[in-house]
Amino acid sequence: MVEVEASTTGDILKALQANYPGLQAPISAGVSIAIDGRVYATSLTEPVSPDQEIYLMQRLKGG
Amino acid sequence: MALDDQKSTLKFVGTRPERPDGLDKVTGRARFGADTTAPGMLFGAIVRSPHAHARIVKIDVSKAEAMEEVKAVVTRADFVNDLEYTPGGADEFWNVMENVMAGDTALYDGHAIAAVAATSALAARDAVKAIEVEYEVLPHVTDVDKAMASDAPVIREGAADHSVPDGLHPNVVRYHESGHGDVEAGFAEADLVIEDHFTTEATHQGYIEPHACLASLGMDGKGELWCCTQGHWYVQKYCAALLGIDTSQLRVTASEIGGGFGGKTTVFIEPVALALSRKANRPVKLVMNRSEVFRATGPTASASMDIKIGMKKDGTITAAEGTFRLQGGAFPGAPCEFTAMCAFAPYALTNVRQVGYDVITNRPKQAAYRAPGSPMAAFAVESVIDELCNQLGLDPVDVRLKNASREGTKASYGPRFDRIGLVETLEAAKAHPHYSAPLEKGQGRGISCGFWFNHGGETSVSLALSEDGTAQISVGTPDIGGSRSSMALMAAEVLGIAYENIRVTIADTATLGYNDVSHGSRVTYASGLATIKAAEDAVQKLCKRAAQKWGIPEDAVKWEDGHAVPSGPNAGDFDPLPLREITATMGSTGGPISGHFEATPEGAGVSFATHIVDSEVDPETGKTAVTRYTVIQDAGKAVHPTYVEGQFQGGAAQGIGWALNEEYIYGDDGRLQNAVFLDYRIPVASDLPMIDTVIVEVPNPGHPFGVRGVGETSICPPLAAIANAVSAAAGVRMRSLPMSPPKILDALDQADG
Repeated sequence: MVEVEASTTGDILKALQANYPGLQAPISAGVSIAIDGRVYATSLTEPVSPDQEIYLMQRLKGG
Repeated sequence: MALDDQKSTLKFVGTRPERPDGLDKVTGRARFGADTTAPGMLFGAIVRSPHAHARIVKIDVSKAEAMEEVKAVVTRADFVNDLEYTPGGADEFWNVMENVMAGDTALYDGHAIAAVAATSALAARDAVKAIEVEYEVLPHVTDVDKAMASDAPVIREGAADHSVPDGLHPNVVRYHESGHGDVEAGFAEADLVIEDHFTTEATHQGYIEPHACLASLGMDGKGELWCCTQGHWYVQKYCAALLGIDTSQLRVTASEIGGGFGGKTTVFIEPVALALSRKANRPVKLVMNRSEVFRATGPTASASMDIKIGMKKDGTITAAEGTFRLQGGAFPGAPCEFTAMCAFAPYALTNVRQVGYDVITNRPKQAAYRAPGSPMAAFAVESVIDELCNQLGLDPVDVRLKNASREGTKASYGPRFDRIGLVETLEAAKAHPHYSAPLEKGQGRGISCGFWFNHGGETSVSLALSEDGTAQISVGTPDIGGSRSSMALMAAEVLGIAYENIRVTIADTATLGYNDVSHGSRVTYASGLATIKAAEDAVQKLCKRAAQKWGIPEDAVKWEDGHAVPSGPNAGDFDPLPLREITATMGSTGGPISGHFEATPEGAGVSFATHIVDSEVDPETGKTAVTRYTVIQDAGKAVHPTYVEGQFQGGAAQGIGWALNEEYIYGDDGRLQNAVFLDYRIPVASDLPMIDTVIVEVPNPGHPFGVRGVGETSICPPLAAIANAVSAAAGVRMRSLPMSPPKILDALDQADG
């Protein structure tokens, strides 16, 4: 569990990279973000709020 | 994308009209990858490495170039040389370039070394034989466990990315670890803990149509490409990058497709045909033969897996742990993270941990194959759960229901699940007559659950109305599973006109913005959502024309069953205005009426399935037969149920092949031993029972009609369900796929002591 100030998914990733340099490589490699269980594969513009569960995963793709 | 306007009463969606491509396909009018010609066309052929691993010392093309029929020879020197290499494959351009045409090293049996274009296919093949390649053979490895061992030859130094812990062999190029809770504490709570090891071999998607294309690229950097692909914008992007031309100067058109299943989500021959065309200044057709398809396209990863699960006597799973080692050929990309994340997803677990390794070997670069990585995980995990149920005397459906993931469950891979339909598939399985039907002597029954994420992706759709009140829709996702039909049904639902009055075309790359590949079970979801929104855009314009005609405000008009009508009694008294009357005069009332929508929809909705399988084993020969098969899967909402059932049946059929017979067999020399369908045994009609299907519909909150993708989840449970059935029939646990007759006989021999 980590905390950053952000209002969108893109802001979350920017803040994480700024505050936790060790996350730069995995975030650059591509992540998907789950907001309250719904997985956002690539979007950087989804709004987020403090009461939501945010979870980062390696980026999803398929066959 | 949040949707608050989900529609519950549907008139067209859920019906089973005739498929729009049916006549073309039964009469031979449909044009596939190899069905196009061009004036002055040449024929291409590719020189391939006979070695699993070798340094390319010298390529002498002089004899080939001297042949009168030969108009161009290309090697790696004819492609760009400034692609940046990044460890782990984050930037795929370098990896794809290296795979399409070898640089200084041949990395697998079948790796492309050079290519020729000649005036006939025969002359091209002769020219291939005239090209002399001098190799320095290097040590090779094709097995995933051997590739991780300390004495394994290093395939590419520095290929590992940031995720790989120190101390692992350089062939381990990516690493995944996730989970929650305390697995050791969980195992301590269990009444029974089973730990076991499982393996699966690489299999091929087995699409019937080989890769084929027709390329034309001028000295001016402008090109045309016709090809068989699951994603022509991807082809455009990668070909442009590999040839050093502007993306927008290459127009790519997708042919009809004779199967893809994930294997046509990348490029193999298309950049080569374009390079040959640029050099010869003539169109070049390039068609793979079956042997090339096996040796040099993208089979699935093979896997070596360790699973440990603890269970109480009442069936509660107390902890689960899995290690998944996947080899994906000579490049990063084996879907180890998906294998790990899917493995325990069906279950609500307090303590779970999963680890994945992406390992490179001297094999062709793996490609996606329906739910990449998930089927092998289910095989290993569901086999252990089956064994726990057997040893504790528990019903396998009851145990799965007891532990099933539901809305709000913290998934094994992290986030909490939105609305999901696993429990509904299990309840349908328990109630299905198949589950309680008596078995004959020598038969066994197995069940398994399976999980896949599904995907959204970049999507752009345009819809244009014609004066006669019909509609044409341009979508950018090749139709690999009936999507033209489902797009027409969804547009009919919004427009209120007949399904037959809508034609859906797979547009070329010059017509729409970027469309992601037809993968990730995304097309009916994402292109479908975009089609609905494009139709709604057109409806809004239709209502505006009616408002203008009636002289009332635009918001005083609504759309009902194909007609503009006043939105209420205060809006005025006007007869309903049918769509065709509005379009008949649209040229003089404001111009053509079209609808458009583009987005990256982000609400694909995950999907679960439960399969029931009966099988029998001949103890004399080791031959297995699947005698009854039932697929139960959550489709969210089945737009065209016949196609959905077809996806369910296709996943089961391919799973039967993967479980029982299909495998890549490499010799000690690192060469593929069975690169033809005679030796690589896919199931044929006589191998298969009627595959029964049950469509469960738990609506996806992320789609206007509740649609979830269905194309991939159907291949997740079969390996495990069949293995559980065969193990029950044989009386011995089968831990290695495929369960071919020799392996069955070995297992029976070992069981007999």
